Amino acid sequence: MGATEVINEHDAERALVARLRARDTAAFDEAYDRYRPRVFGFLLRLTQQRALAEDLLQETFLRLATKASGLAEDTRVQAWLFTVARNLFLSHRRWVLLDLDRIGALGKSPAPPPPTPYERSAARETNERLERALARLPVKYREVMLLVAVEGLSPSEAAVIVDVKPEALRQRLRRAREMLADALVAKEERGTS
Amino acid sequence: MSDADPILEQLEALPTPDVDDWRREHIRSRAHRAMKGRESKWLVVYDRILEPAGLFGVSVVYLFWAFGSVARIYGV
Repeated sequence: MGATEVINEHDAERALVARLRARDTAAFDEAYDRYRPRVFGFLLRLTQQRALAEDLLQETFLRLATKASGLAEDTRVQAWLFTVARNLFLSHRRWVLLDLDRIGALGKSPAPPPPTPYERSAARETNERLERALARLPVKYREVMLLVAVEGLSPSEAAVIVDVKPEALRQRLRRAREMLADALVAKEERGTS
Repeated sequence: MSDADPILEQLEALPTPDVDDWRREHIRSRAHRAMKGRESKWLVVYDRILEPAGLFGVSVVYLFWAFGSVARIYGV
């Protein structure tokens, strides 16, 4: 991408934010149609549950609608949406872990989750292998892999979203890449033996 | 990380999922309502002041009535 394109894109985003601040529903539609599939993909691969990902997507865009007038002029909409989506996921996860602790304290163990419709509907074998390997990564590695490798954000943008220093993010990325490669190799070996 | 990394290339090529049409429009219409709802000052005044104050008033009246009834039954 050339410098002129970057400047134009930056100007376009500032114009979009200005319209959002003025509570222009057409501006919301523009942001919603542009970023919804990417935010949903991020949430779906993070949560591994379609219904939960849909709920978190709805909450993310409702936050954009209700907080639009309070956005800073230089807000990067994409990064803002990914940050909100991630925070909502982490809040939900904390709540679920707390709930599982309570169930454990009662001496009951939760049933293992059935395969999700998303897992069942993974069409191509390569994608399915990759999706499964991704799903097995711990959340802190999975989220950086999703943001940078799948959604194409720059490491510095992703570092802002996950609230770590760029160097720490690069280390996480390297580690995530190694873990993913190991998982894929292990799966191939199991498949061939 | 290199651009030629096959795993990263596969990750980049993963399909982008989306919600179904009903859900997509449901979220859109809720968001539009949320954006427009803020424009109505009366709605904000009702939501934040009138409704809580009304509920508080009704609760206080009910509590006084309940205590009064119990007091009458037990002759206090």
